[in-house]
Amino acid sequence: MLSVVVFLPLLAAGVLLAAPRLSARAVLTTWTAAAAVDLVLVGVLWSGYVDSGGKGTAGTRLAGPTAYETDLEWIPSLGSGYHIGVDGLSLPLVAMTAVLFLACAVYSLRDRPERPRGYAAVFLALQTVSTGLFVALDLLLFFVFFDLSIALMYFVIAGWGHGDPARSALRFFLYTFVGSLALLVGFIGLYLAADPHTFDMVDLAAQNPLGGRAAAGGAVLLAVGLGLAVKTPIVPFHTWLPPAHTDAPAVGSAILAGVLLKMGAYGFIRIALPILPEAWRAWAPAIALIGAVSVLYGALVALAQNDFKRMVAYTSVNHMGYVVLGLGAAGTAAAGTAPAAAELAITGAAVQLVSHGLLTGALFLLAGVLYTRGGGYDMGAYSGLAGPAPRFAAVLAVAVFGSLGLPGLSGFIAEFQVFTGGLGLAPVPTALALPGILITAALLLRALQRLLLGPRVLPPGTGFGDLRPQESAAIVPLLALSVVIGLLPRTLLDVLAPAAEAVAALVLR
Amino acid sequence: MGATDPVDAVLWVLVGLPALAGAALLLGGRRAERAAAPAATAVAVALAVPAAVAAVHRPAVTAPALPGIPFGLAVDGLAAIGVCTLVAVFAAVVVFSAGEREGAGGRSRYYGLLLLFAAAMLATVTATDLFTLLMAWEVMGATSYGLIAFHWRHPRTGSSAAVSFLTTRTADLGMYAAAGAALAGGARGLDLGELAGVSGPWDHVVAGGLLAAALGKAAQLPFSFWLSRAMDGPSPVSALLHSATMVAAGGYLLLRVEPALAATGWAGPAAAWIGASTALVMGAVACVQHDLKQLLAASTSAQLGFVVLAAGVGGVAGGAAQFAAHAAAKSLLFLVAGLWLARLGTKHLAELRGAARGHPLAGTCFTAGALALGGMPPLSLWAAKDLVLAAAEPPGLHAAGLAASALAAGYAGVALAAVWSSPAPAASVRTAGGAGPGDARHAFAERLPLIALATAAVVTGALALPAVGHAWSLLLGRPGAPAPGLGEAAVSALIAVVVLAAVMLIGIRRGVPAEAAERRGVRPLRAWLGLEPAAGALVVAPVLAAARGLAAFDDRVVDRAVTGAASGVPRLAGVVGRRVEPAVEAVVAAVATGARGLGDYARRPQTGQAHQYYAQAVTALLVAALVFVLAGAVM
Amino acid sequence: MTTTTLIALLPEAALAAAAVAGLLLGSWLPRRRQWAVRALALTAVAAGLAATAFAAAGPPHTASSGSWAVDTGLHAARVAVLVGTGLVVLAGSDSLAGARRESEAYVLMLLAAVGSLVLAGANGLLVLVMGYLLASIPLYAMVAFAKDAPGTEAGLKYFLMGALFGVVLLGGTTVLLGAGGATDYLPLAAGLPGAPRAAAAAGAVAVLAALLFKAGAVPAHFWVPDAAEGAPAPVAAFITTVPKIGALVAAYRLGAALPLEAVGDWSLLVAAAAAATMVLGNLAAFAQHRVRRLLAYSTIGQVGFLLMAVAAYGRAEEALPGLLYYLLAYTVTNIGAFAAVCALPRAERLDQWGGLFGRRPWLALSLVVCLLGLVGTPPTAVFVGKLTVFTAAFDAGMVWLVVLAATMTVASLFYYLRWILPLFRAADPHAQSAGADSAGGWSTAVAVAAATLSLLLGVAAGPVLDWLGSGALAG
Repeated sequence: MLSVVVFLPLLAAGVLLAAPRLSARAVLTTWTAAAAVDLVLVGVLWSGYVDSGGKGTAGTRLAGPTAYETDLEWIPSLGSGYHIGVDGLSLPLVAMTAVLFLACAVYSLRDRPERPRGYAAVFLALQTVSTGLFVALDLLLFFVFFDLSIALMYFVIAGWGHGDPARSALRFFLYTFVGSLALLVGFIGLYLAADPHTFDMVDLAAQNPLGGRAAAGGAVLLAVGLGLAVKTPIVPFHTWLPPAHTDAPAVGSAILAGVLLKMGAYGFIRIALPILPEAWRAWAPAIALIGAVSVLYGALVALAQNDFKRMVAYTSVNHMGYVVLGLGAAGTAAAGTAPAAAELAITGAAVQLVSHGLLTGALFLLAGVLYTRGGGYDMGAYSGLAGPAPRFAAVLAVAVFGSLGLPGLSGFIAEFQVFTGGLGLAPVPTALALPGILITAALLLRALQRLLLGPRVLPPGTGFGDLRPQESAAIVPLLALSVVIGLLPRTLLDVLAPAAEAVAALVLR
Repeated sequence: MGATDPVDAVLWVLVGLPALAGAALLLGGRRAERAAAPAATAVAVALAVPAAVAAVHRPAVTAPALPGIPFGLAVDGLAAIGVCTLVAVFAAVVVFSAGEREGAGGRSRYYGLLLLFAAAMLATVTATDLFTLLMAWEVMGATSYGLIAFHWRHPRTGSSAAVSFLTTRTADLGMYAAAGAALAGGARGLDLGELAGVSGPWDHVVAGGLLAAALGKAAQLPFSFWLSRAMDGPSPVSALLHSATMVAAGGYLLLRVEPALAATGWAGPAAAWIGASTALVMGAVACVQHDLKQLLAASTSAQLGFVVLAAGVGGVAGGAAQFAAHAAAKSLLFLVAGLWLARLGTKHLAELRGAARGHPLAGTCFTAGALALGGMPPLSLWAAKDLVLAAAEPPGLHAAGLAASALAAGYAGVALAAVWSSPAPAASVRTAGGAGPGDARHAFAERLPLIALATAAVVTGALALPAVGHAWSLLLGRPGAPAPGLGEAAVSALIAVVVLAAVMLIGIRRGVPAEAAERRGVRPLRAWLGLEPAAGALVVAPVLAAARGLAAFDDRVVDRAVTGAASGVPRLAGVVGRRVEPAVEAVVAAVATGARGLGDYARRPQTGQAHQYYAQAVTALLVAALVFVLAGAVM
Repeated sequence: MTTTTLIALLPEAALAAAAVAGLLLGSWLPRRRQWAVRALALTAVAAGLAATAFAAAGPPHTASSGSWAVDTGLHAARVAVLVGTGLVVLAGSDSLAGARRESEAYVLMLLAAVGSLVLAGANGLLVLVMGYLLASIPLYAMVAFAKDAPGTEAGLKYFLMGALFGVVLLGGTTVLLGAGGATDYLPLAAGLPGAPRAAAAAGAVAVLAALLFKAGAVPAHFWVPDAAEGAPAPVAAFITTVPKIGALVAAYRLGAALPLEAVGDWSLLVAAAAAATMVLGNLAAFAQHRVRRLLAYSTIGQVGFLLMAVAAYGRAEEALPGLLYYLLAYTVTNIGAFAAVCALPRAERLDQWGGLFGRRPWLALSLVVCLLGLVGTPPTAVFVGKLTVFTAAFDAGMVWLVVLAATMTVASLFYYLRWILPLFRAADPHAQSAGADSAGGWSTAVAVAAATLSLLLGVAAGPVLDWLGSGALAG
């Protein structure tokens, strides 16, 4: 069942490539249909998971019980297999991925990309890869999906970007690929340290292979952390992000920020915390500090941007900083305890993954709307858009307020938990990061004010039509979900919180 | 949902009804335009029922939210006062707005935001834990942003809204910190009732954080300036948000967490002194304003200073009285100011000369409100202020409070003198919408709220009666709160009467007092002490400079350091000396050149000469054999 | 020669017979019809593979009175050598077809392949010497095949080095014979413990040195860059791949069969050679601008990784299967990369490869897969090979070597990326772009096939490793 969810988009991609001469409309419709079916299947998974009370199949526990598990041998002598399953941590991300890809498909119905067949096929393949990564319970499988996501995103940016896409795509590829190699070296370190050697995350987490070996644990954490830090991205490994976002197509940016960035942060929660608990605890103060620096740095640099998309890209650095801060702070709790604060911080970090996916996805799609109307992202070129495009203004305002952490939307739930949990555990980094929410508010409101309010100004020779139905249909549900999480956090936390609790118990064992 | 008793569900209705109605209006957009005003009025009036039920039955509800932190609402004595005050003022403002033209165009947005705001404010006063409180608190700020920026085409409103939102959010960081500290200090579920028992040193963070958040929202020093910018919003909005409710919420919060402030030993006195100084300084600022709305705004800060002062000295009963009485008086004054702004097209005191004479009903109501504001006995704020000052035991504090009441009488006098002095020459009176100064026919919808609020502002003076004051203290769960003696009441009454009379006399005789006071020393006061430029210079400018600097750093250094290492080793080596940040680059370059140098070494054996290959190979072999044999021998 | 010996040597015999027949056939056929020799060579390869499949079903045993081992080591080497030879023959079809001495080239390749197999199966020093000579002499001629100045010079250098190490090998064999009283490993192993330690050590080092020469490892690697650049591209592909297979299997056998621990720390000696080789190969590849030199140094680096498994002999379960699997993986992947070079013979410098992806996506993608494979990216086969070899070295207690190898792997990414990245850039109008030439059809096909094989082998790593790990060495 889970494999179907993972590979259905790839199958659809194959069908699209194999089918002779489809019209652009047919291609995009097929893509949307495939994404919709996948989302329905994920919904079935979710309800099944909730109905079973999160019990899943007995036996396997990583972050809480695992459901819909498949474990096939691949290279038994290397302890690696096709091992997938979902638990409370991965299920929300799988769902978020499905939602975001469907939103992108719907958005593309209106956006009409060139060479639609390749476009749809690449995105469908990317969906398989992303979903696969979130359900992988084997390090090698995780890594293969990790690398493929880089390669596919390269093609998205290079093939359908604007500006200087070849250069941005190459830089994106270079950075993240070099990072991925560090990740691989770290994985091999974990594999070698385990006895018997294995790549299975569940076995590794149970073994705690580097327990009691501080130097080796630190080295492996460094390698793994480096690889994940580039992808997350954490300052100073973030400089691939702004050009990649600026030059990527809107849908590509939405996926890059919404899904691909999550892979790095998810890797921390899924791999670094449970499998390297001692090393994580040893370095947690430094990690929390790096997270705080990311928060402030991303916010400040975003404040200085005039390019809307670049600004949103830097806010991603800021938002991902909260994740790292939360996870780092959780690691500073004393071993052997599992204080509520640590669980809260990890829950907050995990919620931030989902929340940022929804909100930043929406923001990047809105940036795409801006680009299709005005041909650019320079905020100085626009003013008073609330007049000609009230729906656009309203949706953008909601997305902006969500992104700056307004209560009632998901971002607040995430950031509140990170701060509240983190302050007692890691007071200095958390206090340092606190002004981040203020700077983010300042820069986003400034953007809102420049774009929407005041007298009407448009780039010469352009008109600014309001959101089309397809565009609204793509963007509004993302925000609606964010509101649902913000107002009824239990819908998400009933699934997520037990998993975060389990991760806290693992890292603090 | 944790509502076991059906009466508890009233709380959900109380908060949920305006929230849902507001959301529906906002989502409805243009389609909801026509239905907006009636719907909002209906909701505002209907809210009286759950508010009354809640005030009597004291319901409490919780719902699970975050792990270990529930979403909780409850009504106690203080909350009952808050809820009733809020619902009353809200109804008055909505009914008034429905008769006004402020909402013309964008009605659904206007009423939607108002309703959302009311929901947030109701949640704020009934919240039982920091999580719920912070949620409601911040939503309040955001809806206020939307309302201040209501006339969004005007170039200034957007930035005014942002200044207001960001200033209050700066202070709100304190509440985030307080939440973290409360959790770390062991307050279960972040319950407000447990804050006083938080373990050290977190208790200081909790108290300090909440104090900062409250001072920001209540526009106390040094955050006061945002209230001045907030006056760019529509007048009914100012009446609701920036006098009676949102700003007052800051004071209300301090009253609610007064035990936590008292527990630290320093937070209470700090609050008291900040409140007293705000009452003094902002009172002085109010006295010299040229603009009626600015005068009222500054007086709001000053009046709320008494609430903060009350919270600082443990005078919850007095603070709550001041909160409720001020809400009635100030919203009334703002509504009249808005009415005049709409009718006469001005809010400038000089141009408002004789406005009260032209609009007898509005003028009378305004007079009632202003007299109450000035602390005239036996009106509401006189009684409330005496309750507050009775609790302020330190003589210095008490004296400061009395001085601030004198200033209150002063600014009330300034306003009254302006609107009652003889009308200016007709040429200087601008007309708006064809309505002249003599056109006094107000819609019923406008009249009713004015009369109701004026009545409230007058009647609450009953608190001065010992029996009423005692009942009030009981309602708040603070029996035995210090009540003012007869002498104290007489002194404050005397001060108010004398000052007010003097100012009015001078004002009416000398024309508009604001013009008379055009002296150099007054200018900083009129500009709100330059607090906004100061904040700009001390906080905003450095942050912006840091942002620009970091952005340049990001582009030129971080970016290049990494790309340079990957792509252009030789280029990097040449670049090292020239860059601003040689340290960062030098490390990268050293690694890069080091690797390159190693590569050169590695290629060096490859000379292309066969005899050198021979020599190298044979040497290496001999060494290997030798080492191997020797190592074997050692073993 | 008994019947059993003949059966045990069936694949080698097939190749040798095809070589002889090809020589005869080639001298009679007109130049245009020399494809027949190619077909013959391919037939021999196919026959050899069939015979290997047949032989692999049987249990490990020795033949020819113990001097020839028929076991998993030989079977795997046969598969690698035969597949490698077949792929090179195909990849060379573009440039060799219609050449004056086309059949000669095939014949030499077949003979060298036999030599490599003899090295792999040798269970005694005399057979080893025979294999060494058989694997060397045809190659000297092949390097100088084009009869141009660089080729001749490279051939001469290769010959001189080969001659030196041939002498060393013969000397070592003599010393060991004198010390241990035998040349076959089984009796030699019995005799060595009583022998003078210095003599035994010197002999063993000498033999190892010759094998390092064939494998292209430090300190006998000097011929690799020169030969890879001077020789025609298909020949370069062959000499950097096929002889290594036999040499590395032989080196492993040497360590596994003889009690060399008694003489000295043999494992450490090999590990030192491995470390020196991977460091030198990978670092020297950094600054190369010519694709063939870059690939040549890359092969040196790869041998360094392969030698880790040789060093881990006997102390780690995964050492032998790791070595054999890595050899298989390396063969397809390296030949895939060289096939791309064969396809575009005029693109000698890295910058000439700019924009290839836009013009020949399949060739470019295959090259990318092969190069990333050489880096060791999952799920390509070399990754699994590297991982297994790392595991073996780790289990054998050589953590330092694993750390060094991991570092070198990361470092290697940079020079491989120097080749990969231009493929995706817009073509430089000033540089003579490779994509503008028509690519050789056969070599492109081989590149695609090799890349696919590399991926398939990686995905099917489980069963292959199971097979490789199932049998012990004979003798």
